[in-house]
Amino acid sequence: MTTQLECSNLGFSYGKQPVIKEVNLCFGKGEFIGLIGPNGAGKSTLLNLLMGMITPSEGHVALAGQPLKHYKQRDIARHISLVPQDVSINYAFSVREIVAMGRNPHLGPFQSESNRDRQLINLAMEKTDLLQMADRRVNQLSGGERQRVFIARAIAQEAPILLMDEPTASLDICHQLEVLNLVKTLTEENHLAIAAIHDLELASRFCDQLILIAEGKVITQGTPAEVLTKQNLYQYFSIEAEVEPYGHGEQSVRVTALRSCHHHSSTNLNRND
Amino acid sequence: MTFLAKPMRIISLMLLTLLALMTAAIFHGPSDITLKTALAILSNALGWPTHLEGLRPWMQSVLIDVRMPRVLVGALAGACLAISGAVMQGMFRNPLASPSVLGVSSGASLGAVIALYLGLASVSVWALPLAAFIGASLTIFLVYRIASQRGQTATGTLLLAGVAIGALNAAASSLILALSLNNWEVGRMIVYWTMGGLDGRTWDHVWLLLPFAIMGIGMQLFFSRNLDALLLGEVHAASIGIDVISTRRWLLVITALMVGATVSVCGSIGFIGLVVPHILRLMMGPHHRYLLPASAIGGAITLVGADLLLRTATPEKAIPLGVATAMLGAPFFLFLLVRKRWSIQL
Repeated sequence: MTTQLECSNLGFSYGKQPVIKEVNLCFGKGEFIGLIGPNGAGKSTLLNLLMGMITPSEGHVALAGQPLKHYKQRDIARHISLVPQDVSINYAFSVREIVAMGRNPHLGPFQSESNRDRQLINLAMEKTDLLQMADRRVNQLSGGERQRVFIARAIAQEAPILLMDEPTASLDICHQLEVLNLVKTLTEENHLAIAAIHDLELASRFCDQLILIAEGKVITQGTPAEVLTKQNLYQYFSIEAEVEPYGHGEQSVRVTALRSCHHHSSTNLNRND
Repeated sequence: MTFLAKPMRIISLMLLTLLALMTAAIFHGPSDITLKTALAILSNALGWPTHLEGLRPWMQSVLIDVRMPRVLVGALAGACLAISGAVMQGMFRNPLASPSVLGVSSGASLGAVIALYLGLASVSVWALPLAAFIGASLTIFLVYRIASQRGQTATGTLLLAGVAIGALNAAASSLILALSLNNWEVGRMIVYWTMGGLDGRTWDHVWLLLPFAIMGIGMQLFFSRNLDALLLGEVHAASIGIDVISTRRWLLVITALMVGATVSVCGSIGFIGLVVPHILRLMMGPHHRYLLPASAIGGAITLVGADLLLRTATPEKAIPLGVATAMLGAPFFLFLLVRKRWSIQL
């Protein structure tokens, strides 16, 4: 496994409040990684650290062996692309325009798109099934369609690493499957995808590896079956759950929540946020 | 492709309107100069000597030294204010952001008032713009610092901080004005100046404003792609490789310079920076590569037009320009707000 992205002893705090503590992780190519954990565990913060949006207070993130702070934002964006959690847009940009923004790290300020740029933009829209709505305004699309637009933007960006913050949070079940299938396809084409996902069932079904985070620390990582144990679910998600193998003897599991048990005041299960 | 052609059509039309208005504003005025005489003066000034019966030297100075700088200062100031408003609304993703709401204009005013009070304005032509620029920069720096933490800017906090510091600036200006009331001349200058206007502007003022306007507008246009991305949020912008913090810093410095220079030349003229970009955004969409140049032209049209209207309607100059733009701008803006509630089509 060639390491693309790496965190060593990564820490981040707001003021004196530590949000991420001693995180050591290593990511290779062609994997779909799910970040799971209760609310406030630090999943979004970790994603922002991986993108270089915020500067770690301890340790560092390394991209292709070099600390992220040695890169300009523009160069980071040629390797990593982040699909934000909130993709609501009140502005009348067309689908094509948003997807075209993915070419920004490859273009100078006054440089216009070349034929190759346009081809990549079209290809990204084709993959995400957006070609027929290329000229529609994004503020008139559904949540699932907008999510796809942002994934298309990430594809057009040609960044081999895709970070996603709750890509399915605001979608109905059909669109959730659609988006995750798309990401799965990308990882099969050798992209690395790291997504914070709330839905344990979906995370288990689609991700190759899960990383369980709680209170800013990596608790455990491994296949869904290794991570989603009854014990972990009880301890970190405060639920009593049934866990059974899923599919054809694979490493996925089906999680059935039986009841919530509030043994931690700060780690209630709340899927509706 | 009609999608792209429409904004360019609007911009060309606006440019023609601006040229026509500026010409009209140069040819029109209380002094009785006929069109024929005016043309003769212009051709003289451009180096084609033309002889005409009844051409007096004072006519020439009215046209060249009074009306032309007035119109040019108006156009440049309007352009700077409106494009800065468009930039601020874009960079903070907030329809309320503008040089006046964020306290930048009042900061510039305060700086200039202090310069007037201390009599620095008579020491050097540059004292007033410098003071105004310092006031504008300090204000925007303070407002930005208050609202920002670790590269994230809370827009609500930003606007509130702008309003609060703006109020402080205004209070300080009033205080200085109150202190200077016993000095009638200084007090009058301050009052007149804070109301904003284009009376008695000279070529000096044009030369003072011109470099700021050209450089500022050029640099703002340079950032138009970044501004488009910032409209979609800081995370999105960073994700496509835009250094959000440095983009904001540059744009803040540029707008502070432009607003400072503008306020120092023609006082605080409200509402142009807020209203003009909104009208244009309604007409041509959010793309800054069109919106920014259109705002500059639109601001120039508004200020030159308002000045021409005032000079025609009230030749005795009873209404200051800054008052007029606010009185026309505010109701129009309210009209847009109410209409937009029913048919929101940005």
